[in-house]
Amino acid sequence: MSALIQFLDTLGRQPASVDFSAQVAALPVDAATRSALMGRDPQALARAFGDTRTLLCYIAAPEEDPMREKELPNDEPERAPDDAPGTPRPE
Amino acid sequence: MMLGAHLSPRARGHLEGADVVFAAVSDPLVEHWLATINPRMISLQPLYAEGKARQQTYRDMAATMLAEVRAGRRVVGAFYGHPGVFAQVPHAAIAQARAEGFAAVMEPGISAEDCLYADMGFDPGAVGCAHFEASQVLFYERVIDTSAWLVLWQIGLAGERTYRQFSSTPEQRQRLVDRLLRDYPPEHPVTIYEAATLPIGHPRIETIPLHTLAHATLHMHSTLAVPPARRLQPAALD
Repeated sequence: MSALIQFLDTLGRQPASVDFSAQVAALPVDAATRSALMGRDPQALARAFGDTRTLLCYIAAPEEDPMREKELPNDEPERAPDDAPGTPRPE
Repeated sequence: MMLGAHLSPRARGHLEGADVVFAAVSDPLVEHWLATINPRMISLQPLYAEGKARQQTYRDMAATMLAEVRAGRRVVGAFYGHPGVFAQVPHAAIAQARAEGFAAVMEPGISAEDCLYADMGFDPGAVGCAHFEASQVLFYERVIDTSAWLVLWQIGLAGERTYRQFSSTPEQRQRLVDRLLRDYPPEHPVTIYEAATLPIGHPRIETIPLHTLAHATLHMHSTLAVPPARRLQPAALD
């Protein structure tokens, strides 16, 4: 486990027992990481760690499937349920 | 929600004992942390893709986990927040596993909802609190009780109905604002809430007037908390 991840894990579990500044000062990390920690800056920390991916966390949708008309090209009207293929459309 | 903090001993035990861990989390450092708990951690991120319907992504996530279950492996899914709250994939995967005769359980987690009550300091039991997926309020007729709190999830996607984009436009969000303006005054305060995912971070608690919401900065993990707009009305009892 990297020193940074170990530190974050400890800080997450034991926030009251950690002398934050002293712990950060003692960590074997580079200057950018130390600065990000002292600034309590998650974005800077990600940059210093070298992983700035934007992770997607959507795992719910309000509908079971996308609306069908959205899949149709342009503004082509959706066929009515009782409108069989090949049936002439009323003018 | 928070690295190191919001993981129950029981859930940690499942993670440590798994043959494979599938992860869908919101922060790269959380993924790295999970990999220290179990190096056989596999991110589900590659299953997302611009232009791919999210519903298909969710089916693929469940199928990916089930394939490992069928192969006889002990599988754990680690999801951002509570795995059963605004989270279709864990429910679907567990239901499918059980349908095929496998033992499957869900361990409760700490959701954005739980963090929101703690960080914002309100009790949903005081006057009630309704939770809706933001787009669902827009796409369907929902009755909003303005004497209770209203919490809208996935506000950053409000109005995006192709399910192939990962954020909505100000125009799409304005439709949600217009819907809420049917029940709330334009100046009604609404709070954009984002839980802290790292123990060095802070939650985002930004209160703005409702009518400005469409142009606010919203992220994937933004949640909207709307306080009551009127007092509880005494019931007319016989």
